[in-house]
Amino acid sequence: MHIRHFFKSFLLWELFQGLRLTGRYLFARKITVQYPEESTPLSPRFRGRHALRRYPNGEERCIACKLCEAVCPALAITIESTTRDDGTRRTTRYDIDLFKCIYCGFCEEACPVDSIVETQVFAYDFKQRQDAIQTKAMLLAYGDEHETAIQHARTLDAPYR
Amino acid sequence: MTEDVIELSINDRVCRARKGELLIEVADREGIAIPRFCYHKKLAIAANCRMCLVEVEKSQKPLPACATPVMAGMKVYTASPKARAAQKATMEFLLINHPLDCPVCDQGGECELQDVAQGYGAGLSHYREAKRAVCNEDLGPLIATEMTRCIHCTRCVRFGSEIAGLRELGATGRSEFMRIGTFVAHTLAHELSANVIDLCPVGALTAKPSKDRYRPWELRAQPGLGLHDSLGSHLYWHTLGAEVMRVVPRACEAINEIWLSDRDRFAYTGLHSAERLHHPMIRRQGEWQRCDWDTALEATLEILRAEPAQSQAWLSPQQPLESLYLAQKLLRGMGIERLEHRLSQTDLRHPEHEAPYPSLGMALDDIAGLEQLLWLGPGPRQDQPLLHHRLRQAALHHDTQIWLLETYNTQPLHPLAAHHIVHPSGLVERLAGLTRALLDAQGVAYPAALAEVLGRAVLHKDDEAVLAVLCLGAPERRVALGSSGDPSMDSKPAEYNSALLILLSSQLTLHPDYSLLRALASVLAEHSHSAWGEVPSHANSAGAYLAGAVRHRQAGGAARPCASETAGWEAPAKRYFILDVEPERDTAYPALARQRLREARSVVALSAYPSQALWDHADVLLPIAVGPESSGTWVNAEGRWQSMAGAIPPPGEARPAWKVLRVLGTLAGLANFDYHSPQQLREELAALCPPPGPRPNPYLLLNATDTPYACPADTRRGLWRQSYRAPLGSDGMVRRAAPLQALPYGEAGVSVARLHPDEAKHHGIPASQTRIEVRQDGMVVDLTLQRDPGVPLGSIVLPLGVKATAALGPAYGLVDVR
Amino acid sequence: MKAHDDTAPGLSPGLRAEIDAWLSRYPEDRRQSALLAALRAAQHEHGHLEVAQMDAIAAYLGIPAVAVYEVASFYSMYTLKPVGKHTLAVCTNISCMLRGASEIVAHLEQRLGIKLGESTPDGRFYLKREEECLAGCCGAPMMQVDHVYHEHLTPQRVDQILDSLE
Repeated sequence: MHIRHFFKSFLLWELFQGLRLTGRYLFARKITVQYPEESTPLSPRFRGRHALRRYPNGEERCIACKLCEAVCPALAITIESTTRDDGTRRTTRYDIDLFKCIYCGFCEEACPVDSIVETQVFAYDFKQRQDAIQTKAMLLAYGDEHETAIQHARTLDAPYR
Repeated sequence: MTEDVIELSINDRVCRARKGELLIEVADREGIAIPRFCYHKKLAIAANCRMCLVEVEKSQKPLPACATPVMAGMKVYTASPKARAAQKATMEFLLINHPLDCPVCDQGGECELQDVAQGYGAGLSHYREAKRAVCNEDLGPLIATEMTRCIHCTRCVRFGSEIAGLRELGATGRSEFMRIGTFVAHTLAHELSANVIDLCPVGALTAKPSKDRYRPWELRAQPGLGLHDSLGSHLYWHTLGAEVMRVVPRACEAINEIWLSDRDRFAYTGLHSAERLHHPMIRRQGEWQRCDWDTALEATLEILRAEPAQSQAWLSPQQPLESLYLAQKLLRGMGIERLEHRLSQTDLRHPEHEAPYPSLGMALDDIAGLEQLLWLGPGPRQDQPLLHHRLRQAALHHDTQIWLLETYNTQPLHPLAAHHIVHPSGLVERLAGLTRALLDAQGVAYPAALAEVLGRAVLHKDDEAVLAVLCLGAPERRVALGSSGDPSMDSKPAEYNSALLILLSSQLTLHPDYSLLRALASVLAEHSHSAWGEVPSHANSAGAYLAGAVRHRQAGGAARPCASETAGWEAPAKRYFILDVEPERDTAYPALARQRLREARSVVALSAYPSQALWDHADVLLPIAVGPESSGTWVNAEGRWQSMAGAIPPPGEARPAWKVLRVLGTLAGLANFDYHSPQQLREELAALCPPPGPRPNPYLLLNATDTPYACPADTRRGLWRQSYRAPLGSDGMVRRAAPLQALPYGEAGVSVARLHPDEAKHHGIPASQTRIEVRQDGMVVDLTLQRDPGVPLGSIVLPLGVKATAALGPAYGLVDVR
Repeated sequence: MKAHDDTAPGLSPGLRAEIDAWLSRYPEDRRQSALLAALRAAQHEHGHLEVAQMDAIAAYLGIPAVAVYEVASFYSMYTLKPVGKHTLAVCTNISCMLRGASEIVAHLEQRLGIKLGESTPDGRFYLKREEECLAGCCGAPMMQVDHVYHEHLTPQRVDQILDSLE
């Protein structure tokens, strides 16, 4: 036992063992992702930045039911509503404070009309602190921009809902 | 009574009940929940929703709990499998046609159907047919409809026929085509109609002004009071942030039960009017400038200090006790003795014969116990809708005989023992005749002060029946009726006749011989052994007397010798201090009030909504809080002191009036002005007020040395103007509540001259003519003519408190029409 | 408060006399009892019920106008819009249905060129929607023309009936 131990340490056996592992990964297929040029795959349920969606005819989906506001555990959503000229119930203000938001996704779960969604976009920045308050116009514009991706994620997730 | 009590068991629990009580009432009392939609404790039983089906032993079928009287030994199961199956089946039926639009429905979150569906609704329905859709009704500016949501409980229909007394909604068609509506589209015109919003168990009838603006869970309910009539109805301000979103009634059986007048419910919509004053304003070189509070208060003090003996204060009877008390303390402390809140009372003579303050003389609850009620002057339907409701309930369910002697037809909706419409001066004659006949019948000498008036009086033959009734009154029938035992009722009368009440309408204060009417009524009451009362005209008319906001009373209500007995509020003064008064709409002499301000040297006004007269003639304007923005105490028509706390902050730099007055007092260097809360003020004033006792009848104050009452002038020749306070012109908040003003009895609706058709013909007005020119004291206004057979001949009825008549002379007097 | 309007504006003397005749059968405080008869008489006079007429009846009986609308819209025997002179009501309940009522309805619709619930443009016929069982099952299929029963109908028989009406 002592002899064996002596040779193992004298011949740097453990060092070579370690080097073998290093060598194996040196030649193995690389899994490093070159962010931001490349990105890792995301679950369709990923909860990133928020967007408000529209119906295909361009009508905003949101009906100002305020369920998202009520369910939001961080109190990040502020909504004011009124009757629009055509008699439908609509928001006049829909603000999300992204600093308060904890990205739990309860808002999209609560939404009866699939209006507020969390997109798969997680990399974004603000130049000004106040930009973290996303207004209705910003959220709708963001929704318009990412509608295809949102649609796609919904389709992928549909069988499990 | 014991034999009437029976025992039954509900869910194996033994309950005691009166014979004939309904099952659902017993279950409610025992705290056993039974779902229901059509049943409502204030309405008749309809039993048409079938939601309250319960299993009763030995009954083949489940029975509706709301329509099943209890019987001895009955065994009831409200949650047995059979009962549950019946309830679930009913729920499924109700949901066949109910839309799934809870997220956009204003009722969502406080919906009875939603709540019950949580417990009894199934996730899936057996029905695959398309849901029925129903066109909406246009019920006016207050009630929004979504008739597809209606479940035909008919609570709103029953409300119309049973509570309002005006059936406007009905269920037309049948089965699938049954719908609730007016059939012929029109705005609901009853003064209590918006109560159907609360009654509707679903979102079919909701409040239009707040439609789509809130969700019930985000509102904060803060207790408050209705400040637009003299009852002081209990209500909740439902606030969202710093805004009142809606108003709902707060149950108070003694006052408003569970109802609320439309005026109290929607007056909040006037809070954010564009006419609201947000900052102190000061006039410099004829130009209005915004200034800070310090500057404005300094300028105010300068005006108050200048010529106290030549100054006059106009105070509003809408203001709470606290600010009225502080106002008189400040003004009297600075030497200003001429202060008045009775700006719309035309006859201020004989203050020595006034009651301590105007009140009903009894609790509202006790009206139902009356056998006879003699109402003098225009009925309360539009002016005090919930008082009208009380009269109606008394007449319908307690056989109270109501004798109504009006000066024009107010279209009361209750049964009447007699309904006479007389000319305003005829009212004095009729009352004098009645009084004389009663005194003659009893062999009592006429009081000296009234001897001349009574000496000329003759009993009208129509009044013989009411005289017979008055003769029934006997001293031994004077009994204590105080049933409520409410400790907050500070001055409840200890005893009065259970049988009879004589009431003077609040509109009568516009009568040029009000003091005489009051004296006659008090003599009549004394000798018929009846209670008597004056209905206060404003939210705090009674409190203003107690606070001493009147020239001949001190704080606490004790008489105060006043130097200038003759100079009323309308007499000229050089400086004016105005608290929450719109001179052209709150006074009985609008044109004169304007003229006084125009001729004054300086005018300072505390105002929430400065009117044109103030913008034209004031020098300093101080913004104050109104309604839910300030706390305070109001004394209602029963004499009940009611306090509320402020629910929202006042806008901009506006402050509660009591705070402004307190700071003025401190700045003026007056002693004892360091108040911290309205509570302190209230307690100080309460200590000054006499302890509760019976309401003294001013008759007892009449004595031989009094100045005799003058006989009223004969006004039978010519066209005599009579006025009434426009129901929606009661105060600044209501005047600016746009949804209310859009009602048929809103400002535009009542800005008409009402004339008897024959009178119009007599004045040579062709039948085709719709406009009329009214000329009074050299001033002319052009009004829509309404030919109304409910107006007595020789009289024209004009509203007060609306812009259309603000340019005219006094509330009464001879006018010309063209 | 007067409960009703004695002068009865808007009611013809004949109509008023008929209503009075019915009123005499009921207690004085139950004037509403005469409502069904009053509406029937008014419909006889004008062919259908107008709102103004219903209001006049409400004022005369001293009941709320909406109570009259409720009754008038409830019963299928009252029509609230102008209809053809002759009312044709085909029973489509079970006995008649089994004996070919739908054929009769189809024939009527085809011959008159209108659907159930409509009137012919010349104002002669009104084809009433869905009349419930008229208790003429032994003679099924049947229809009621104005107030007369016609039983054992065939398309030919229907034609004869229609031709006999002006």
